[in-house]
Amino acid sequence: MSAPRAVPGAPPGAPPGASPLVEVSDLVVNYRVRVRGARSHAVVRAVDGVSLTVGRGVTVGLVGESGSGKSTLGRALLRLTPAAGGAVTFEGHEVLSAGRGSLRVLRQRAQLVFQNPIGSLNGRMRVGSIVREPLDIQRIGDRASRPQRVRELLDQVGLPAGAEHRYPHELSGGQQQRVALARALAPAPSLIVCDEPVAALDVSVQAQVLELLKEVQRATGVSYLFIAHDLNVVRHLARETYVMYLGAVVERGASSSLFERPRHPYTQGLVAATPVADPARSSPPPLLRGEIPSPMDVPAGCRFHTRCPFARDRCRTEVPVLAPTPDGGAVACHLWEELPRAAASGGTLLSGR
Amino acid sequence: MRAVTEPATPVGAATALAVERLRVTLGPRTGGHDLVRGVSLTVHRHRTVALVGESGSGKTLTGLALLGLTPPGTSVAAGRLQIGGEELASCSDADLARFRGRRIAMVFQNPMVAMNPVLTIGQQFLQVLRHNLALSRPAARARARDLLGAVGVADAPRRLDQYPFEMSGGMLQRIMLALALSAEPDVLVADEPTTALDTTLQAQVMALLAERQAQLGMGVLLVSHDLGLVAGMADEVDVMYAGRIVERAPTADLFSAPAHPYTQALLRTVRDIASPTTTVLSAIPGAPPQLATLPAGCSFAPRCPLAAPECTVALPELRAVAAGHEVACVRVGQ
Amino acid sequence: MTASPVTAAPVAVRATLPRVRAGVRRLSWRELVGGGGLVAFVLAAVLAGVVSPWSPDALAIGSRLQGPSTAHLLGTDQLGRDLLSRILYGLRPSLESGFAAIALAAVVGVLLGLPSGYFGSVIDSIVTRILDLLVAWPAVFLALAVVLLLGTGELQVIIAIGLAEVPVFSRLVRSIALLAARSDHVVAAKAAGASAPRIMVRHVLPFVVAPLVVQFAIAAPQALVAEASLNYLGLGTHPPAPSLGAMVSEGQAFLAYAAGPIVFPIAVIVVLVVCLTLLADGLQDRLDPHRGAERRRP
Repeated sequence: MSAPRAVPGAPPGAPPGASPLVEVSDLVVNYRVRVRGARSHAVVRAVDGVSLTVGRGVTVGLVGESGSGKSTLGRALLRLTPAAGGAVTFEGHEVLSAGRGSLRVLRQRAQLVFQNPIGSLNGRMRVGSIVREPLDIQRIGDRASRPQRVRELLDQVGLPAGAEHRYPHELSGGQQQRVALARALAPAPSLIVCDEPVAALDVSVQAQVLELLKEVQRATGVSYLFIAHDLNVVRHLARETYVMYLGAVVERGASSSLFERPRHPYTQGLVAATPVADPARSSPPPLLRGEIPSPMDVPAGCRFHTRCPFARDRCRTEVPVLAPTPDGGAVACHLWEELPRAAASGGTLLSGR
Repeated sequence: MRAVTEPATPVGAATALAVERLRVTLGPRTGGHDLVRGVSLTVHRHRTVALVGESGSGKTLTGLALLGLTPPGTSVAAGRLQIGGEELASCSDADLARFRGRRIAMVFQNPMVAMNPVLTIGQQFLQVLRHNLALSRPAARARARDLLGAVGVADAPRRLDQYPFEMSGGMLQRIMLALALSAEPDVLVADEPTTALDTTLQAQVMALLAERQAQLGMGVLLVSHDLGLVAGMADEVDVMYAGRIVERAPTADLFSAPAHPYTQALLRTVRDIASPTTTVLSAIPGAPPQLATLPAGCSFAPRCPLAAPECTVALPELRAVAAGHEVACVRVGQ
Repeated sequence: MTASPVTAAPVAVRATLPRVRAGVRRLSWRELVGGGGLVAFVLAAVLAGVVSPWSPDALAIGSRLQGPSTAHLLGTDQLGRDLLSRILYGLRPSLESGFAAIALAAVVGVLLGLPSGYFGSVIDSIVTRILDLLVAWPAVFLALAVVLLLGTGELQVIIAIGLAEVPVFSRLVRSIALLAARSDHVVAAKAAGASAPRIMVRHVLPFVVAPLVVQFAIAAPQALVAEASLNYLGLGTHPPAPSLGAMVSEGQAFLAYAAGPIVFPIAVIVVLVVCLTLLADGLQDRLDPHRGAERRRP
């Protein structure tokens, strides 16, 4: 791109006075699920009243186990999955009720990168056509200039000359993910939802792709909503992180404090379960027992109480709300002020049970 | 021909598994190429050896070859294969069939795929128990209940009548572990047993595996790409690259003093990602090699920061650099 | 449909076993025999005017219902017409209407199945009902209904057979479209603002083509038999134009005097069907996802 909308050295923060790029408030996404033996459909709340803000040029992390609704949230805010309630504002436009005109802005300015690179690329198309398609759809540039733009995009993501003539299956996993990123960057988006973008890659390749994501952000000022289960990756990339459990945000905060001293017992459990490449730090016995309940059957009260080592009677009946914490985060737990703030390893928690 | 030094093992620990110069070849005997290129390793009872590598390194094939389960189109050869102290005449399917499930068992990455979707859990247990242990039907069912209880599955009688699709991945992985351990094998090959699970479940399953190992005393060959997971589980780590073991060391040594440039780069990457403060991640340049067209000499040389002309001359052999610590790199110590 | 909000399982570095790099795989014997046979039949039909020893309508009253001889390699029928020539000419309507009928079924099947699988919900329900309606009728009644409405003739035979084959094609296309519509590359296209028709044509249809080709080969023998049956029932070509089915029908009355007029057309139908079936088998093997589709290079 000849004139990159560079934000040179911009600290990961919004320009003063600017509204946030994305504002999600009380988003609800339901799924209808056919129940065996029953005539009617059951309604599953995959996302249950989530509010989230993404600033300009920053990375926001979203973590949680599978079934927590984090991917659904990402898709709903891009209006790829219908929402049942709430509001999403993107670049000042309301997304959920947007007509064709405003939706076009969203389709141009917000993109998606997936976990499985080969599945996210149409195997019957050459790399060049894949990257060019958003330009064709959005009528960006003219026929003559698009191949040049495709070349620039491929160059930007570090793919060698001639890559546009290859088919996706001829590339390595890391290269495929670069193609997916080039396609996402084609319409010059301000937001890319990254759904587990490195989870399917080898460790040595993960670092390459993460480094590329950072580089692209520096060059274009794009924001990432970074969805991942790997806390290490999220902590490395995101300045702020949201923790989801069964469709709701249970904790939010600056990544540094959230992962160093998690407040919510669920976050503590996640941190404790993350393997550390250091045999000296003996792995503690797992803090979280059992598995995430089915979203068809969300526990009453605090949705986490069935797995929480600290649960009390109040937790079983009363739903905790996200309450602000002194360090600028928020936590949805009745007991957060009483609980010990765990060290990063989760070591102090072991007495909890 | 054993390696120069034996890995540090407790005195008197019996050998659960020993294999020498294991080779897995893809394609015809002539014109084919090796995917596993002469792997030797030993697992003692009560011990866990981790086989670590990236995709295409041959770690999974090594595990499969030990059970005679390599995919069609491949052939397996080894200088020597010993399971539970018993020498095998060959690595042929026929010779291994006698050991498979009884003396050596395997847990796979994806339990949903590894289990038969149209049989109930109970039926699958019955098949395995009656075949491997020649138990009667009621005895097998009672045994299955006990085995499920031992892996922390509550409500075992009900679970036995359910189908795999009715269960979560974490539950299925527990069940697969119970199935694999049903004959109390000498060796368990665990191939990425928790890669398909959330980290919270990973922690639970690995704790369970450790617990069962303490009770049954089998040797575990843990095949994994995850250095973090391995750090907490293994006694010894064998690092594979392009079908060969390039470094072997007691876990603590490997993490504190990695000798091979590949291991060093891999560890640096993992630690960089885990460190929120690092500004630039150290990535290994390039991509893993294609096994069909390997360069002469060390396979890692094209990506290696320390590569010297002598690296491209001959394939480096494992040599000892400390007690139980072997490395296949001519540059180490220079 | 389950709620599964994308299995965010840490399916990191999946240990992919290196696969044999299959270039253009050599033709299997099924493909060779089936395809070769089919080509031979098509050539024979196309070149019937050149290779036929006699005109198909040349009557020779003196030599009726004769067995094979040097003059008439397969003998003659009840009117003394040369059987070999009639079979060669008779291949034309069989192959023509057989293939035209399947082509029709494939086109309609795509038009119905693609939106049905891609959109699901209401459109899917409507299409499914239409197909149920077609399936509920025995194919013969369907054909009779077409003939009743449109009269007899080759075109009517094509429509009748085509309609009967539509459900199979439509369901095949629907099932693939259903999967493709949920794949990440389609979601990516949606996120880039692609319209539904564009997605269907560019991101779903290409994945339907290969299975369609196989289904084409599977349906072809059925269509040939159906065509012959309809002509046998007198619902197709008008005499004296030859067609394999009509020849069987005509020969039947004289079975007591000579087997040739009925046996040879049937034999040709059988061989043709076997060739097509072999070809379908071979193609199916070739497109088996376990053998090549999933190949990935390191």
